[in-house]
Amino acid sequence: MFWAIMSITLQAMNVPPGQPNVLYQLAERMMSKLNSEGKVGSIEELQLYLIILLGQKDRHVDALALLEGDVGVKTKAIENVELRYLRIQLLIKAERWKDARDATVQILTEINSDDWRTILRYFDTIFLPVQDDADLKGSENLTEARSFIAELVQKEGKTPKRGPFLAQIELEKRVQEKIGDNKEMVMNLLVAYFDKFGSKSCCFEDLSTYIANLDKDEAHGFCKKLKDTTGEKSETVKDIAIQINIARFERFVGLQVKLRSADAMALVNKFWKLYEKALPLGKDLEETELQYGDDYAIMAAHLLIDVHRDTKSYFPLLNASFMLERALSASKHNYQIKLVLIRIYELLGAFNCAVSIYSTMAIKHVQHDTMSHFISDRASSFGLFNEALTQLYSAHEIYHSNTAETPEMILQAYKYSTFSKMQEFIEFQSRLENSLQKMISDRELIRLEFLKEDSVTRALTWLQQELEINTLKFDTAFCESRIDNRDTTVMLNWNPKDHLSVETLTRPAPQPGHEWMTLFTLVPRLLKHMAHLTPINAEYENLVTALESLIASDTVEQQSSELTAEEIKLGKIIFQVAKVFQVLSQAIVAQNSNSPTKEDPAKTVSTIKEHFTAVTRLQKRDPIKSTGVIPWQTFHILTTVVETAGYLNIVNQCLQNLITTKASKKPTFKTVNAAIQEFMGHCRQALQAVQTDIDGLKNVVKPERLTTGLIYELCDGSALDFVRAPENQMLITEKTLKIGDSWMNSLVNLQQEAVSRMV
Amino acid sequence: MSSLRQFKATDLFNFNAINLDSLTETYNISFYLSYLARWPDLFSVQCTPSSTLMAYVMGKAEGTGTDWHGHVTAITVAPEYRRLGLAQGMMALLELVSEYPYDGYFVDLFVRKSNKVAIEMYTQFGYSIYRAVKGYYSGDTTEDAYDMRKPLKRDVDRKSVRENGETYLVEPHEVLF
Repeated sequence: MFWAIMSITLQAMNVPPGQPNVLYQLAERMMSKLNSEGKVGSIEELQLYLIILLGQKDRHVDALALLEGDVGVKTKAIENVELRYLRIQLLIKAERWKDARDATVQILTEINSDDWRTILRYFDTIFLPVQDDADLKGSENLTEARSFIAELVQKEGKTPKRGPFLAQIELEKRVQEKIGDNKEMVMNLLVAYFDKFGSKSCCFEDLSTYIANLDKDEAHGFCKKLKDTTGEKSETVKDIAIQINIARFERFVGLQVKLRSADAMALVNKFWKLYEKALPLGKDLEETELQYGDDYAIMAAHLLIDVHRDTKSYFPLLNASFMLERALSASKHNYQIKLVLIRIYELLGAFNCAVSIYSTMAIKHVQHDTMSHFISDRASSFGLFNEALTQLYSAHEIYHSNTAETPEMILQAYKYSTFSKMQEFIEFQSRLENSLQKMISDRELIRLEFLKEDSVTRALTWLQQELEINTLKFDTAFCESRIDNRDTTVMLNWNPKDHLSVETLTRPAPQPGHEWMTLFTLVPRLLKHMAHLTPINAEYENLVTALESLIASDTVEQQSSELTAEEIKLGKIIFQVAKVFQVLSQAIVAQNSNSPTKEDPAKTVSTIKEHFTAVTRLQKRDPIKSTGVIPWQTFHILTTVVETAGYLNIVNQCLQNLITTKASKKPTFKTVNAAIQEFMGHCRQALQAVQTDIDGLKNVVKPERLTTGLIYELCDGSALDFVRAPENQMLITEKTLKIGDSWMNSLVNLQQEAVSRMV
Repeated sequence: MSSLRQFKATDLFNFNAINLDSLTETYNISFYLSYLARWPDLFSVQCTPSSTLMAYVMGKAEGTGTDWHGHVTAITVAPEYRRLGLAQGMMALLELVSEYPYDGYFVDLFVRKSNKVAIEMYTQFGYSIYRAVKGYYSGDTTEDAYDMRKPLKRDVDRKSVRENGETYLVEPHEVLF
């Protein structure tokens, strides 16, 4: 019977808001009948009843009655951590302030003084009843709150819980916001909190929201106070933890941003020195534990990332990678070091190095949906198509698992009558099924699978027979219903609130989203249409229009564009040749049927030539000058040219096929054929230019050249102590050669791809 | 300070700060969801005020007769939130739930014989070594496990406490319930 009610409830939840919903009422009636028969006896059954009531508007009083009534007592609802909290929420909604306050006080004094959500609800019972902020000042509520929290603080013994202390800060912060004149109190509490908990790693996170609320002078003042009281002691593990927290706060309040290069370098040196000083203290640590000074190394890397962004030089990034590798060798499992390294290697164009680190992170199952973007975003750009495919295939497994496993788990919830979990499981399934990352990696897979087909014939076959377009949607409704599960907050970040996070700053290109997904949906769909030589229909015109608006200049100039300049260029080129296909296809149909609207062949060829010229203009680019470093950007340019060449080969073949298989009057299109041939010559030139560029780059990254060139330049007269130190030379050489190795791999592969596409 | 609440299926999208740590294993979907489906109140999580997940514990209830008990399958705290008493809070909740509604006699867990830090921590929480399980942990090196137990109210005679339990050796197949 409960199963039936659950099923109806699930259906009720799926009714769009605003529409009449009798299902809830039906479920409630069935539930009420069971209840009157005394059959509602378990926590899960009670939760189901509550779900039904709370799914309807303004039923919180009834829900409360249920929780506090016979069924609640019978099932001991109050001992269930979720129902206990739910009751408090409902009491607040029903404005039963005293009851709510008593309930929260009981939990905080008897069960857990650290429970933050209960503390917040306690504050609700204090602040919400006071309508006017002006009344707050002398109100009983405030007095009571202050005394209660002070009591909680008093009770904390030798190993104090942080809850009550942070509650004090929260309370006084709210008073400051509502009444004002409380800044000094807040500041004193902040400093006192640091005094007590400053050696705990979580102290930074605990206080950062409050520090973010201070104005610049106050925030700087806070850091100064901390420095004054603690000095620069860094002898014990506790000292180090305190100093690291202070350094985090200093970065957070802006004291490490907009530094001049020289100052930044000096600070990097200082942090590295502190890192090295902390190492001996960790000599007996287990291999799975992190070194005490690791965050100094990471902070040094953050500074170098800033310098790289300011100076546009890649040397700071290289130096950061060496230092992080050194730190990683002493702290093999520090995943935060690994995350920064992965991004730095990607910025440096060294895919093999990035993969090497990523593969040590043991990212599995659901983590593929949330974390794989670190390695799979635009993975094709490095020119290592097989390696990229491997990463993408293994990440895609989770979506198959979801389809196979999750429905079974929903049935399990039914089996055990765990009603509270059913909707949750359904939501979980949906989040994976409709994952944005799934679509993005899917599009990247399609690009790579196409890139793998290095002959025109094979590529055409792939387009015709293997590429399925049912899932290749791009309409607004589809895009907006994708769910973004990507984890972009796991990377350590102590940047000021108004600054971009480290995760954002270390992206080689803007994060792919709807626009990016749309571009790489339109391209394969257009190509597939052409491969089948399908006549021009509404669908084709729709695709072309969509592409046109995607690459329109106003989108392009927007800062928020997700597309790189090369991707926009690719889009524009495909647009032009899509028009050529359209013009030619329609001209052939008109000529075949001798339609009265058929145009003069000369006009057809002239229009086609205009489009081809537009493409040739877009293909023009400056040769790549090597500076010793081959960053992501360079590989991205080269790979996109090769990818575009592959698409153009297909298009040119399809255009020729159109004439040979569809035109009844082939001689009419002789001039078009000639134009196509000429255009193919330009395409070959573009590929030739890639090969020339690669030849030049290969020269520069040969190991011998790296040793005498890049490595020498990095070390000679470096402002960084780490780089000048003789004991680090071997590591620097080893890592630079590994990066060079990865570059060479990419270059060799790209050259082969370029050669194979010369038709 | 943290919020202690029941783990939700969707928390799996947000647990990377915990699970990226090398000592924490990430299992497939079925593993987590099957626990949630069957013992939702034995799977709890600690969150920061900004809803970052700091730690979680997975438990189940099993056994027959006087062996009916709560079991800690996994307990893990993200590196930066260690030594804050989070494990204690979660264990206390698990023990409470093992008593009501599960009405178990004791709570038990397995820990590596060499994991002195963990053994000390559980001892502080009121657990004692009940027996040793030969070769329980496989992998690069095989290692014995200690089955540590804490008696609950229902274990009136404290049968789940054994003197010198570490000398009481059993085979892995004997620990199936």
